[in-house]
Amino acid sequence: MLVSDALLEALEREGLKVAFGIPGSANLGLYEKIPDHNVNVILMRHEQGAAHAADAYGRVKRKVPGVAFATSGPGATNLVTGLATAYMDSAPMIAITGQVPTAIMGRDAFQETDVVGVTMPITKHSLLVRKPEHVTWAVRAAKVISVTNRPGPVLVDIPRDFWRKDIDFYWPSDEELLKEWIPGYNPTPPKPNPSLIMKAAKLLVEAENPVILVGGGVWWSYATDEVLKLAEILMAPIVTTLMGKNAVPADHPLVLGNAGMHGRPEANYALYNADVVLAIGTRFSDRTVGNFEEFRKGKKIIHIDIDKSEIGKNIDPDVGIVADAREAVKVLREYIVNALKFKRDEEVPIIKKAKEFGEYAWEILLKERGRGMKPWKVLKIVREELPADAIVTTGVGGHQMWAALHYPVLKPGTYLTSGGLGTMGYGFPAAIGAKAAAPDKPVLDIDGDGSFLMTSQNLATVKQYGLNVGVLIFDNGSLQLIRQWQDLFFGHRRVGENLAYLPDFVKLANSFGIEGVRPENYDEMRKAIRRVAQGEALVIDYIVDPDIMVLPMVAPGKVISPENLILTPEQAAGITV
Amino acid sequence: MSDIETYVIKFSIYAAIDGGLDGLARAIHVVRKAPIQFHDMAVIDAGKTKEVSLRISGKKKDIEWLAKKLEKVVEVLEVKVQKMPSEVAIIAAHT
Ligand SMILES: Cc1ncc(C[n+]2csc(CCOP(=O)(O)OP(=O)(O)O)c2C)c(N)n1
Ligand SMILES: [Mg+2]
Repeated sequence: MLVSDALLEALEREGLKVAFGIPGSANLGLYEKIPDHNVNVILMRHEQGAAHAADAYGRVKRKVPGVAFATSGPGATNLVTGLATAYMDSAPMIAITGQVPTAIMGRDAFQETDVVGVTMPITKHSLLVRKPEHVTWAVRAAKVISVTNRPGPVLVDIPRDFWRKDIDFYWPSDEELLKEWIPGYNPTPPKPNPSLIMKAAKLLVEAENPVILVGGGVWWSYATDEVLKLAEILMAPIVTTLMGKNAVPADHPLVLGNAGMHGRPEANYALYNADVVLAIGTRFSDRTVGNFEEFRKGKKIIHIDIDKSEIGKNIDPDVGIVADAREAVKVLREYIVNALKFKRDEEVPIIKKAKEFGEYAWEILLKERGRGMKPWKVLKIVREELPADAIVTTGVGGHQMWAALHYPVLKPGTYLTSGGLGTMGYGFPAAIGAKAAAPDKPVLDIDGDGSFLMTSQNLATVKQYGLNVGVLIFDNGSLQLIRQWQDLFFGHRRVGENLAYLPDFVKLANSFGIEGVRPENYDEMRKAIRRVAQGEALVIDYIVDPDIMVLPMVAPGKVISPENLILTPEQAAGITV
Repeated sequence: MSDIETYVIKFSIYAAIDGGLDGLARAIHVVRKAPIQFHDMAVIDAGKTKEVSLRISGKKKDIEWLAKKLEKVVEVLEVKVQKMPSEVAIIAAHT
């Protein structure tokens, strides 16, 4: 069998039937054989988009990574931002790149880059296939590594002279693969240590105000139900990180929403004032707690993570448990219920206080300010019109923070955002990847004008494949979040934030054969969102005042305490960062 | 007294498939980003594996964290951390 056929056969056997990419001379030998296989290739208009689409596909499917195809050199380097994005958010994906022929490798051949070298620090694994017969092993290894333990992106680079080499197709068993190919990789996380579980349980039942902090790991390990059950036993509030927003339903009575730099006031209040924090599947980002030392004071911390290098990296916990989140939380709950016979009947006191603080803060925050339709009102309409299982993606900037604050996630797995890397341009191709993964669900990209421009050429892909997604562009003519930082912390010096000469987004959509609208009031906005809910591809140009700051905010480097929450622009005066 | 001390981290890299250079490069990427001071490194061919010893200084916590990060590298098989007696470290530094 030819290597190209073997690779495609391997993808089929692994269930990897959707790939996003762009062909070039180094992978034409692969493309040549695609019509003979059950692998559906979607032509993106830039490889960055292919990587984001593959990443989003994996975020939706969880155990089936998305695949990105790219040629050598510029094709491969265009994947870099997408790989780094997936790596930071622990999303499984596989990039398959063509490489220059073995005979001229290393000699600066046409379109040669050492993409394995380039991507080493930003992938979970990357490898060059050195022998034609290794191709099935490489695909199997990439799949296992990408989806097991802490998920992440894997890159497989294949010299282009291999595609037409004839090999005996060999399908290694799991045991052979792990023993002979990747003996240093352990796909199974350790079992939670019983004595640490006991210690954690004791801390939690003795706590007056325990708070559960949920990170993205809760989604990856299918731990949502276990976390909710535990919260119900403890009657403790759940707050989330930006990535954890995707892991718990916002309408559960114990969920207070996302904490962090632009977190909901009630969530920050609870997290900051907890006496015991149970952090699950989170790496304690600086964006979540603001200041590690300040945050740590006066609290006991229990940290559960599948990745042992995360325990103690940013915050030294009192109890650190290395395990799969679902497993650990399940054992913890069982111990609390069965051995300690514990169950709280009333919500822990901090919930009431946090909600009171939230009410106070929201009253200030939701005062009318600025011109035109308000972001929070528009997002309320979005939530009302989209079905609970609709998928939302975002770009990066003010609009992303507005969405984090005002778009509640009702079904876990339906909110895709670039949290770790903060990659502008993620939202739109991610929406395309999500649509490919879940064709029956409406998909909406909540984007910024700046972010959307970075990957909007993929409008062509939407049209070509009928991957109908909606785009709600926060059209503020500005890199608004940058403007906000300049206004607040850099002496009001607005430099390089003005997006002059934007396209007319309605006409831009039309030029790709896609409809566009520019709603002038909330009614028209509602009608537009409804069209997306019904599965139409639609670009919605939402004109928004760039001077409506995204608030609340905690200045960078400051801990997420109630005193540090900026609720009005005036309150930020004099803060130095 | 400073809490910076010298350590040797020893680890094996699986080399049977590709000779081990990619695993070594990946491990070095991890070391580069750790908050430690790098002194020197030796790599010995042991057939199916390459045996690496890395001499570094830093805080115990950071060294241990680096060891955990190294263990995550797919090609890395086993990681051991040893503290170097200070006399040995001084001699090693002056020879
Ligand atoms: C690729 C990339 N470049 C630069 C940045 C820095 N950055 C963060 S937010 C932002 C502004 C985003 O503008 P836009 O997409 O219009 O969103 P808005 O803040 O206006 O809602 C910039 C430039 C980034 N996050 N990603
Ligand atoms: Mg903007």
